[in-house]
Amino acid sequence: MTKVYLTRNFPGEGMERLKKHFEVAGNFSWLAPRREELLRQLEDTEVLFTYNDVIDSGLLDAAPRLKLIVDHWGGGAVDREAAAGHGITIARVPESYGWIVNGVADLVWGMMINAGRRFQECSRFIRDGRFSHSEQSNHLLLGQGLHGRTLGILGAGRIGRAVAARAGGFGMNLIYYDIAANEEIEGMGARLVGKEELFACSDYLTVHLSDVDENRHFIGEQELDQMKEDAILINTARGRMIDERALVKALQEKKIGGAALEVYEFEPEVSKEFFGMPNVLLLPHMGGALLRERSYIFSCMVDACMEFYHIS
Amino acid sequence: MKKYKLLVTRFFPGDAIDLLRDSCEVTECGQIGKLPKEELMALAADKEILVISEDTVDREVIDAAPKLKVIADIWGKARNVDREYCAEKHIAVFTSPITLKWINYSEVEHALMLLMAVTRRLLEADAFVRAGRFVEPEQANRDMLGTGLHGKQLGIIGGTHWSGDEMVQRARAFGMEVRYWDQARGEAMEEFGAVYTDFDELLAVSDFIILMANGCDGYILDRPQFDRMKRGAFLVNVTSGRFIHEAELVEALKDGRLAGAGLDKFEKEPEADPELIKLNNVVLTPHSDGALLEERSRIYLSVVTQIMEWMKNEKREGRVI
Repeated sequence: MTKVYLTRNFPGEGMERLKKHFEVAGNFSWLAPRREELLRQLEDTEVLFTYNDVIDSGLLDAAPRLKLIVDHWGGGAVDREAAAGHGITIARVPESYGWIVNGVADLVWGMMINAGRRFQECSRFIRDGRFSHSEQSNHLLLGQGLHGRTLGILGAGRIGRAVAARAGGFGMNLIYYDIAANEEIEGMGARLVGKEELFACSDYLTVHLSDVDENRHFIGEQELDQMKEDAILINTARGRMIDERALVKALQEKKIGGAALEVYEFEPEVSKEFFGMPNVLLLPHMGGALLRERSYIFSCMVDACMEFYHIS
Repeated sequence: MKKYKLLVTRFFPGDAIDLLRDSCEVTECGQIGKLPKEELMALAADKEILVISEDTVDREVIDAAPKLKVIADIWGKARNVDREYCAEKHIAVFTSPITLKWINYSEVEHALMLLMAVTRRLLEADAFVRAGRFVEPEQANRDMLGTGLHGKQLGIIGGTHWSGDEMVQRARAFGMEVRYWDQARGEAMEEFGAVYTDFDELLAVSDFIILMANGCDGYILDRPQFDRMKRGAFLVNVTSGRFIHEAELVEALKDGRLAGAGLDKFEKEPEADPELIKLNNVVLTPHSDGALLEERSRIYLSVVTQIMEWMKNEKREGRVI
């Protein structure tokens, strides 16, 4: 049987279908396989399922039976020239990023609403057995809503725009900052403002800057000082955009109201000081952790493989 | 100048009362429930101003407070105050003019909060990081997979009596398809894109069910309804806990019929079924869908300013003691 090697664990029913027609081997982990392991497997692998792994000419030269590469993210890290030279096809899978944009945008809103309304504390209150009167939360767990508040979007890229698109109906005042005006986000009701206004006026500030060196520590002590005392800062972009030491200090000094983080400057290291802060929501980089969507992509990867071998 | 003796009968959020500390000798009761009648009468005996929150101030209480000049009901629209007797006794009655529309928005936001918390497993995820288990950026894609909202089917049970249209608006902005069932059609909901659907069909096709029922006798959701729901669906409730058979909900969650639930109210509130609390795929909040500081503070302020106006008038008309 034709051997398929998977460099990662992929979710969904696609696996069953694959196993029916192919000999399936894999590295069923979230960590990339070590190069030695990959080389060993490539000796007799005909189809390689990858997850943005770097597949260089060295690996391709050591893969005599390899005919097809199917990458979850479109194969951007495969040496295409070398692949072509060996007559290896790189399969196409459907639009690789649309689903994740929605996934992250949904999560941003989840983080906003949850942080504002003190979800973690409310939850713990019940689980600790403290809930004894319906009116308690109106005394001990008062939070802030969204209606009438200002949402500041830092960066009008795809995800920033997807976040803005979901604001419809929440009655929020939308402002954004970017180096250039963006017609699309303005069409959703967002107003372009200067940096200072963004930090000074946002009740909720969500970071969606592009991952370039200039944006490292875009938010530091100065910016945090400018923010409202009960503002909530959300980061799902890249950890290094916020000076994490400055953020810890700002939270300790109550310069801002709270934070919801999905990424960290020294990921996966998380500043220990956050652990004792009930007003900080800590998530493990999960904007794209969607079962149905990933299962679907894997299913399409399997389809591509079946199509290549003319199996219906 | 002599200070007015003022009693605040129970806790209310915000610092508005501080504005009265110069002109009033303020006695504040800090408990969240209402005072027992005898206690209220005893405390009110020498007071001129009573700041209440839905408390009952009937003839008996008024008679026990001969110096009473003002009653300000922060939350209750003075529903439980004998206004006629107050008029007879020349006692001014103030209530807050602020409408409670913000509560509707709050309840809808809260329901969506619960939905997002349970579908994206925020409680588990936060615990995961705090337990030091986050060691590799790709982990969540294996260990914390959740459910997105875009393109999914939301089913609203109820909604025509309050806020259904607010829910539909927000849900549509997330790219969800929305269907609803209620005892009558909801024009406003349909205008925003919700499709009226037969009750059983609603249960069968919805990825998420949000309960927005108003009045109803008995359970809206118990085992037979859970069995009709799509396997792996999520349920959210911010309306009354009596609409859901809690023990049977626990069973439906345990056997995987439902993938998760988010609840702000309980059948035997404030007791939540202990089995419910044990479940990982359940998010619970303690009746906190209206717990907003700024909005409540504003309401407190709106009655305090009326008291201040009254005091100004008293002074102007030479009635200050």
